[in-house]
Amino acid sequence: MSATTIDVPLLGAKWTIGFFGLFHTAVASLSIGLAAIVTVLQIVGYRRRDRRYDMLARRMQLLHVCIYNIGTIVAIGLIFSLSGLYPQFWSQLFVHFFWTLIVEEFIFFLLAATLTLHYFFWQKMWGHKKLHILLGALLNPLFLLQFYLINGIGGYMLTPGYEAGQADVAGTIMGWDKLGFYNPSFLMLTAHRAFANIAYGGFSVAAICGALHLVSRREKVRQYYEDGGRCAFYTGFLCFISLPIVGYFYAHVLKYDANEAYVNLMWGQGDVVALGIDWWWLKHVFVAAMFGLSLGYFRDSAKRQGATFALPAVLIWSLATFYLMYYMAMGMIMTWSFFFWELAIALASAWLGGHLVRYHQGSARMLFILMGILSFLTVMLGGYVREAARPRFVNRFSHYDYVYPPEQRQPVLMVDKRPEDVFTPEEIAAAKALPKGKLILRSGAEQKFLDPVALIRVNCSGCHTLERVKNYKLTQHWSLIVSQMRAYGLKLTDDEARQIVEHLEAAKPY
Amino acid sequence: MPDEQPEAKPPEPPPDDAKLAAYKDGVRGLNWFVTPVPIFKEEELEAMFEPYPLAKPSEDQRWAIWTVWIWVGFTVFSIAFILWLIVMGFYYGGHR
Repeated sequence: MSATTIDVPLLGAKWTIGFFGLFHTAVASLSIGLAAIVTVLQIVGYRRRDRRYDMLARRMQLLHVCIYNIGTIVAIGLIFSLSGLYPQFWSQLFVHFFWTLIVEEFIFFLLAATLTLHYFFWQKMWGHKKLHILLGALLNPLFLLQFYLINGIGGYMLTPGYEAGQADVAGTIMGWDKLGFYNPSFLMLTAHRAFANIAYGGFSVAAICGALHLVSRREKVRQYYEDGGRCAFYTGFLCFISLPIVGYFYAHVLKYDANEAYVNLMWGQGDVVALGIDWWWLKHVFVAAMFGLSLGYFRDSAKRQGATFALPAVLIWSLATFYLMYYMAMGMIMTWSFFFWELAIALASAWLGGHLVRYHQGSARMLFILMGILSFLTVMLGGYVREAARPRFVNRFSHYDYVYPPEQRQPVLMVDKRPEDVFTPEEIAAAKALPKGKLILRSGAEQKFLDPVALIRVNCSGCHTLERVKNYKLTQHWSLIVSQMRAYGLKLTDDEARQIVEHLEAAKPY
Repeated sequence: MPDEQPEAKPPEPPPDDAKLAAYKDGVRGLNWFVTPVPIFKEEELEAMFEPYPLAKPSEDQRWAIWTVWIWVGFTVFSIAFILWLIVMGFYYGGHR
């Protein structure tokens, strides 16, 4: 189908969506994180009867009021852009999940009103402080519900899931699709985003405290920012430490249900690499630096308190060890080069973290600022590569086959027809008769599997590292080796096995 | 030519009621709804650190507390309703 599409001058369609998406990510994620941090600060202040935490909470809530508004306005810009630039895809998605989006909109209203009341009634409720804290704390379940709902749709766009659910789209499923919503990546996306947003909020508040500490002169005021920054930093770190674990299982989901996105991410293909930089790789460099800085901070704190070890530092070491063990045991995806770079950067950052605290006479202000900057960059890069990894809609009118295969698009959307007018009764019955829970095999995935490089990478790394394949020297035995792997349970067609053997015997790169 | 040097203002006397001063934290005057961004001198900030100005419940304005209670009730009810929708949506998926 050829159709005239809207051209956005200079930016183009893809980067228009990218601009609004990244802008929204920057402020909306911070908004969610700030709600949690403000609640924590208010509770700490109330329990200790220490006004400083409450004052900091109030200042952060003012920032929250500002960025919440910006975040929602940018979200509207994103919706408008998608409606104009990808009209068929977007209207299909809107009709498919209409009720989900209506509830989402209702939560926007609840959030805006709750946030406004919480900030502007701050000084009016000193006789009802617990009620005021409860009012602010209500923002957290509201935000959780909001991205629970939007993640169902976001996850569906990457991993549409099960054939039965998709087939029912042809049978005019409208407003709510249970199987589509609870798609394979939904749970991990939700968990990862929840923890990541709070970590981002915590590190950002700590960074603001660090900056204000820098420009303060009086000792008590400096201590105020130091203590407030530490509280936010600890809260952020508690969530940050869980991210590699959730991220690991998220990657496993992508491996099986969004294979092209997975291959793009892990081996730096497609739009993940831009301007000669692998942005996914760079994101993990920042993550390693953040873990290193945290390690330096906690080690230094433990020394100052005369403790033999710091529990958070033990957590970081344990996590790193378990992570490596899992990777080694379950098929290490990253290369050794990547691994050693990460390790080197983490260790250098750990040294830098300790040095910064010592250089600033025990204040973590510069470390907080650095962590804030790195967490911002990590969130931005995470948002970019997540979208850049998915298959592109090259033709904006018709090429969204990964999400809505042509035979499964709603015929009621653009034309005045019902499904019965377009499909025969037999076709509709056949679509409904498909077994539920059966994974769909898309055309794009088939093409990917016809590539021997992808075949080798995906199938071999399921059980062991690619290094193991590369280190194997007896090249004339590949046929036997592949047969053995099939005997161990590797699922390959004869044609796929032949392609793998030919590629390995020819000693071509992969 | 008159001396244009402004006279140095005498330092403000310490507030008699530190709690009241803290209560008015950052709000110049009584315009509660157009609260300017409070920009404090560090000395002013320090003065506010000490008291945690809890008040008696009767000191709060009744209309404000009623407004918040009504809103909290509505929001809690709304959250419960949305959770109920999610649970129902899990069992009834829209598939015929």
